[in-house]
Amino acid sequence: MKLKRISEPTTESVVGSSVKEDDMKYNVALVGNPNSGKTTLFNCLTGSNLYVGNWPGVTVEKKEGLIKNTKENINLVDLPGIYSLAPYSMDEIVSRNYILDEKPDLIINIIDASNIERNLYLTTQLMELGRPILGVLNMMDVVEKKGILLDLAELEKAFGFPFVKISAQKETGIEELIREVENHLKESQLIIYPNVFPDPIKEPLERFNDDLMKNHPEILADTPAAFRAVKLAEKDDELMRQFADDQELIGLIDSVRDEISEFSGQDVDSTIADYRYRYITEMVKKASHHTKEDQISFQDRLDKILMNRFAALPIFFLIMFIIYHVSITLVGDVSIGLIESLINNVIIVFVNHVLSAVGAADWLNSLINDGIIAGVGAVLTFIPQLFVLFIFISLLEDSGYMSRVAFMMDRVFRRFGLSGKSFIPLVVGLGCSVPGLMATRTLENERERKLTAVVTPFVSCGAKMPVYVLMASVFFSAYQSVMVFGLYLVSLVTVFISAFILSKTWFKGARSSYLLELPPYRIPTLKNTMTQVWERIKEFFVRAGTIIFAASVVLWFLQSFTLSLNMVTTADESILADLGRLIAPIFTPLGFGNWVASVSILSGMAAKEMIISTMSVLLSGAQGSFTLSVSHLFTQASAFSFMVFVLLASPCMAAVATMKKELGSWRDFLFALAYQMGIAYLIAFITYQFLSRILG
Amino acid sequence: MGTLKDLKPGQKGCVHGITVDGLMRRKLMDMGVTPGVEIEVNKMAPLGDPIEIRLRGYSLSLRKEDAQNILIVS
Repeated sequence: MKLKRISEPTTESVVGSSVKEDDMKYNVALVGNPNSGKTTLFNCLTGSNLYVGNWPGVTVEKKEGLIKNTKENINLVDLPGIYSLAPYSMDEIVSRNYILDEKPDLIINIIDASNIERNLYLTTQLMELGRPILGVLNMMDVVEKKGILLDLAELEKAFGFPFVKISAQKETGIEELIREVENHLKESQLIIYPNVFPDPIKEPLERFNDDLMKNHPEILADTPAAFRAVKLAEKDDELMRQFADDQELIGLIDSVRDEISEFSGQDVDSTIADYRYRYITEMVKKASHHTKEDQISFQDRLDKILMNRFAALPIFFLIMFIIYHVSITLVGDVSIGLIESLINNVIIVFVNHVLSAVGAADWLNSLINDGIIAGVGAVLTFIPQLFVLFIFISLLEDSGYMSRVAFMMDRVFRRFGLSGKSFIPLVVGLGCSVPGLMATRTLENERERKLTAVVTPFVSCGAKMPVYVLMASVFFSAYQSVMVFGLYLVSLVTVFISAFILSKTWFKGARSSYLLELPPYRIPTLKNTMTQVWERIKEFFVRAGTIIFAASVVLWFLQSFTLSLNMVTTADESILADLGRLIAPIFTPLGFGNWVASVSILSGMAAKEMIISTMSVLLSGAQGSFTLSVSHLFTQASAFSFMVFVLLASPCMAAVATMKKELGSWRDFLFALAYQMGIAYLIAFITYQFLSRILG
Repeated sequence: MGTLKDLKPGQKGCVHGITVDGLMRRKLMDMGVTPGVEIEVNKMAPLGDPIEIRLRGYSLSLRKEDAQNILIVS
């Protein structure tokens, strides 16, 4: 099929021609459904050239990277996984606006070929945006195993752009894909794709567009005719808000809507979705040939066990317990001792050797040993445990089990004003609250989304884990994993009770809704798991080297000097001790009204790993080992109360900032902070008062 | 004619229409629940609700209260 091409009246082409060929930087957008293998393909194409940042002005995490193995300078932008371009969720709006405003040189539309009809639905909407598209049929290995043959030429004829076959997981077809991308970069024209609608819908839309051009050329002036006509005919919410008063325009819209409804016997939204699918079904039928009956028996057999009426919940709790037992107890027993001895017997010995060789001053000795090594080292000690924890979380995410748990839990979550889908942000929050908060975007209902965002920080993030591990090993050594698991139960109960209360009060009217794709179980690949785990662990290393390093220096200074700037003989006289004693009374009712614990809580606001670092720095001058000094600070009751407070109190600055972005309004944000602090204080108070009476 | 909610696991039917308006209707249609499409109920969640259905070669899960709004001809 020949495509009509109109050259674009923007300055882009002019600028492009004045710049030397090899200086051209191309922007390519990666768009596709959730679960279509977008992340895998992104990592595959960009390799290690990956960085994460923020959109200018838009509160969404963008992932960008340069495509490797090509001579061209191609910047690949990973857009959120979406099912449609309808503006119902923030992800959809962001993707749509990116394509319309930034006009990428090429859209790579990744399509899960094993689920081709549903994936092509988004494609028919992308076509209306008029940008060059390259179709990437992913998971071809699965499709071929099922005995389905796909005819690329037929697909190209039907949709008006070329397709390539790949398997991102098996890394096949990637070379070819990159060559195709290079070939299509130079088409910066506006492309008119085949119209998917039959004449009785197409013609009224075309006439409607002509009327728009005549009377309202200003509306969506920059966008292709097909997109403009369909969006207005669908009464797109965002547009309607702008033109609600324009009676004449509303009249035009209503008349085209009537015409379409009369033909189809359904309302316009349904008609448009319906005919998109009709076109897809017809075209896919033409382009595909089945050579075998499809069978999904392995999937079903696995589901029979994992989603069994009686076994499903016990299996879920068993899996969670195993995760925490392995990463906290089994790994921790070996790794903590190893790393501590590495720091004490190798690093400190070596550093002191160097320091005495160069004749360093006492204060420098103290800064390096009691400040930097104590602070940064305290965090590094827990890296192996976090590493193992992140492997498990990544496996949960990649295997398809997570969606099943959402499916399983929906009935329970519904009672508390949440939906099964809220489960996903909560589990992601086990790693870090920041991506957990961002994952709330997949929830459509605004109030439900905000409600989930407020309770997500109650889920303990990985950075808080070292606190529990340390406290549990010092005060509850006999039953560590039970203690730590118990804390996770406290967090779960707090999430549910808070959701229940808030859905009836502050977020009244949050009607939960649930519609979730259940992706097939997949065996996670080593490479993908390791990439994700490394991304997360890297974060910890970066923070250890920057914020925790800097904060350890500041803390050391504050605890080494008195207000009159003389060096202290004991930390008790320091500036920090004064500061700590000032705020300590707040925590007296919780059982830990000592200045060390208070300062730790305070510095934990910067990053949760700082709690351990702070204690380590503050106690480094004390007699005996670190754990021994800690054991003097708390009783069993106050240690548990301290853990509960750390668990529930507002998250670190990064997460607080993300929460503000996700909640939008200051009113909700300030309420959320006050609520989180209040609940943390209240539950820690009850815990301490209760435990101190039993344990004495 | 019944609704999707009435189908037992293993039973199939074709979608006749959706009797609810608003966001849920649009979402269902975006996910491919359009007139004429064949749907098979695969299973119920361990707690009895939601249900898992298969359509267009993939699995979707939805609550019974929403399944009740999908008209089915068997």
